[in-house]
Amino acid sequence: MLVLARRTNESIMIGDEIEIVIIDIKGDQVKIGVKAPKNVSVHRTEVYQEIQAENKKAAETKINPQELGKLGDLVRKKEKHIEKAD
Amino acid sequence: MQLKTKPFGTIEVSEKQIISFPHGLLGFEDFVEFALIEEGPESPFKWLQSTKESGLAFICIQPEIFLSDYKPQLSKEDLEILQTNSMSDCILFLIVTIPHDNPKGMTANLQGPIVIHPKTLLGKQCISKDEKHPIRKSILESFEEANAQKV
Repeated sequence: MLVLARRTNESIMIGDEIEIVIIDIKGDQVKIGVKAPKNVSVHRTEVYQEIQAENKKAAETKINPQELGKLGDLVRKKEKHIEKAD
Repeated sequence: MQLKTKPFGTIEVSEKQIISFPHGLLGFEDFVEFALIEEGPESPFKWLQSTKESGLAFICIQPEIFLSDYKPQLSKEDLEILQTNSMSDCILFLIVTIPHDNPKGMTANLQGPIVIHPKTLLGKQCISKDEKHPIRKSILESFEEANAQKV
C-alpha cells in the first residue's frame, strides 16, 4: 500500500480524474473530499461490508416451504388490506 | 434448461429467467449468473438462484409490495453496467433475510437493492445513498406504518 503524508487542503490524484482532498483534520477524524467522474461510485467501506454481511445472512436463511408459504400469504393479506384502505 | 435449485430441487427454467450479474453480489463476487424463480403463483417472494452453486439462493421481494415510495438513486456506473439510460427500464428486488427463530421478523435490504434490466437480462446489486434506506427494514411493520400514515 502506498502511504502519503498530507496536510489540510492538500490532495492526491488517482489516475487523471480522481482527486482526494484533505478538507479538515480534527483529533482522530479526517474530513475527505472526493472529486470523481459521475460514473465512479464512492461509498464508505462499512457500507460494502454491511451489505456483504447481510447477503451472507440472507443466503443462510433456512425456512421450510410451508412456513415460507404462510409468510407469503400474510404479506398478500396485508397488501390487500392496504389497497382497500386507499 | 434444467437447473438444480436450493428450494425446489431440479426444475426447468427458461433462458429469459437467467440474469447476468457481471459484478456478482456483494460478498458473492464469483457468482455472476442467477435464475429468477417464482416461489409460487400467489407468493410475493421470488428466488434468486445461483446457476453455478445449487446451495446458493436468496429470497427476494419487489419493494412496491410493501413500500409506497422507495426510489433508490443509481449511479451512472450502475446504469452503464445494466446498459440502460434510465432506472425506469429496470425492475427492483430486495433481498429478504428471515430470522430462524422469528420468521415474522423478516427484513428486506433497502440499502443494497438488486436492479435488473429485463431487456438485456443484466443485473447488479446497487447501493442506495439515501440514509432512509436501511439494510434491515421489517416487511410486516412497513404495512403497519403505511396504514398509520393513512389515518
